[in-house]
Amino acid sequence: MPVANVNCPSCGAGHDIHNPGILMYRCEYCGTTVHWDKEKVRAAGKHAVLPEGFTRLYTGATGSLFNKRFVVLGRARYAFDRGYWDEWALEQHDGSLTWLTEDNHELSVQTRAEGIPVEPFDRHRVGQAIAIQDRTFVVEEVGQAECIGIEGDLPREFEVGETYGFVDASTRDGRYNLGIEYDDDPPSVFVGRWLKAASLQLDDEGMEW
Amino acid sequence: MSGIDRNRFGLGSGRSRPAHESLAIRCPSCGSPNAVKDGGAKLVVCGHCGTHLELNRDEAVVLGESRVKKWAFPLELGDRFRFKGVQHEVIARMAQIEDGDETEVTRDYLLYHPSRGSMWLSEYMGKWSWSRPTHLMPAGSVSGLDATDALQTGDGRRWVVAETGEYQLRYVDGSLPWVARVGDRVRYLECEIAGGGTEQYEVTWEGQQREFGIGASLPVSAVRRALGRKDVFGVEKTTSVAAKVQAVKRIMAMAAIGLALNGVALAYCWFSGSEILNETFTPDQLTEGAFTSAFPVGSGGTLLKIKLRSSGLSNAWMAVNLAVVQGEATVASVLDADISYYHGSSGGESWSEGKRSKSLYLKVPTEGNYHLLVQGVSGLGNSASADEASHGLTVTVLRGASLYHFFIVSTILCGLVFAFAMQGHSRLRGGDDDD
Repeated sequence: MPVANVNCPSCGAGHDIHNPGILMYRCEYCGTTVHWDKEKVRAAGKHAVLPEGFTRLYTGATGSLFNKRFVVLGRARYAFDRGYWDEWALEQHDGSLTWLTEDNHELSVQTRAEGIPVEPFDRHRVGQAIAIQDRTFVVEEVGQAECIGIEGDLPREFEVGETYGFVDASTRDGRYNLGIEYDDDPPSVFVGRWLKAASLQLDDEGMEW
Repeated sequence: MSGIDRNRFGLGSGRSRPAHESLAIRCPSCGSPNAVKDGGAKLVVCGHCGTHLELNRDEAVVLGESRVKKWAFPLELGDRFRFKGVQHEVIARMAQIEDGDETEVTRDYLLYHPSRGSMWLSEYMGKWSWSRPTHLMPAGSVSGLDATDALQTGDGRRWVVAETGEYQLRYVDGSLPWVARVGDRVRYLECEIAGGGTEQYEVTWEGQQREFGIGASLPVSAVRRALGRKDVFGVEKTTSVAAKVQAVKRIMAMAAIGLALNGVALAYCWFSGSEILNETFTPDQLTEGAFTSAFPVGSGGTLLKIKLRSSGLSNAWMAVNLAVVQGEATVASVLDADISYYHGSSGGESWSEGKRSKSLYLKVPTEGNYHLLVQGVSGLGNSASADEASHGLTVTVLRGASLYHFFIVSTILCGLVFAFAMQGHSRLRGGDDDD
């Protein structure tokens, strides 16, 4: 049962909100990005439909992550020098919300690490070691990212067209990862781990194509 | 949490997977359509005119026409490759060479699956392997590492460097997730799991950018099965460099042990035997012929070592005849020996040839008392003959001696094996593991 129904301020089409944590969605009729926070509904322009069929996750997919059922609410797509990555919002069976990053078909689950001091963006270099939370990460990529679109329902505000510097790093054993996004002051720090393909199962994997 | 519609999470309650549709890219150069399977493609080589196109977010930009020769590949673009239950498709092919030698070519195939991503299939000299990107990194620096060196990755696994070098891209077609240009060079370091096995690990780098790949070697039968074709050339089983290094080291260790054992045996032979006679004869006695004192031999078949030494021999030779006499007059055996020793200096360097001593071995047939009749002549320089001896001779007889000739032969054999193994190890370090 939806927790709310919102009308698109652009075309008036109704949209069911199933999780109270949702802060924005893309109108499936007119493509308008709609910010919604119970108090007010605001349109933030129309944006192109993100291409589907090239990722493992997709909006509306159901499956299990570490044996917990989930549904994929939506995603934000970022473009960077070497291609794209997607930030997928998952709602789990207990209503909790999780973000998964899919980069070149590799999935990682990350959580925000609060109060972690990091160096300014221009001090980072590929190969540099960063010690955070008793782990040493090695920088694999330093670049600029641009949010190029969203789809579905999202529990976080994204500004399409927003650009920021990012740093990606992994531990030498290839198990854990670190993401630093210079989108605010202080920067956002995310610590997580790479997922093995078998850790996540989709009801429709699309193995044959 | 209240308000959550739990039916949305049921098995099969989600949306069906959206269909994969190729990107339709029209070549700006020839106008032909190209169906690009990978939504993240950055480079597309027009399948009709060979023009290299860079895809950005809005358009396809012509990078240049391909004027390189077309390379032959056993796999075609669009070939299906079923690997570990996942149906991949060949979406790009690359030919890379080493050291400018077009016979040293590695053919790489980019295999794509819309939801499981890409992996590489590679073939070099009929040896097939697969790999995919990994975040697993070396535990230490890789600079300066060479073939047969050890490498440890961050997960604790140990590897043996199989090869290092530099690839140069000579040909590409299909679509790639980065803009590759013919002539691009990339350094690489390929490793095999230590202790034998099929797993492989590689590090590639261009400038500061490093990438890591993990995979395994593939027997050609597995490649054929994955392709559903039988007309693919390759080898069924390859011996890993790690296994070769292990085998070579094992051979070197065995040869070293053989050398040590033979050394001990030679020393034992050299010093074995108890002295039962030691007598010196003057030149006159030798010229006339003289008997040694009698010496007893306790049992038949005893090996005697007879050492002849002429300490005064200098740029001269000596011919010695020996009769082994049992009792008073029974000649058990007749022996002869030539001893010569020459020395000098030439061009500021001293030289010598021959020795002042000689050893003879004799197995006596029966027990009893024996003595030797010793007769000899000697001459100086290059004189061809002599009627008398002009040098003295010391005769020593040892009982219970051991023959060392066998051990000399086996020592030489062990030395040769060790040398060949060392050479093999050097070749493996040089990256030459084709043999």
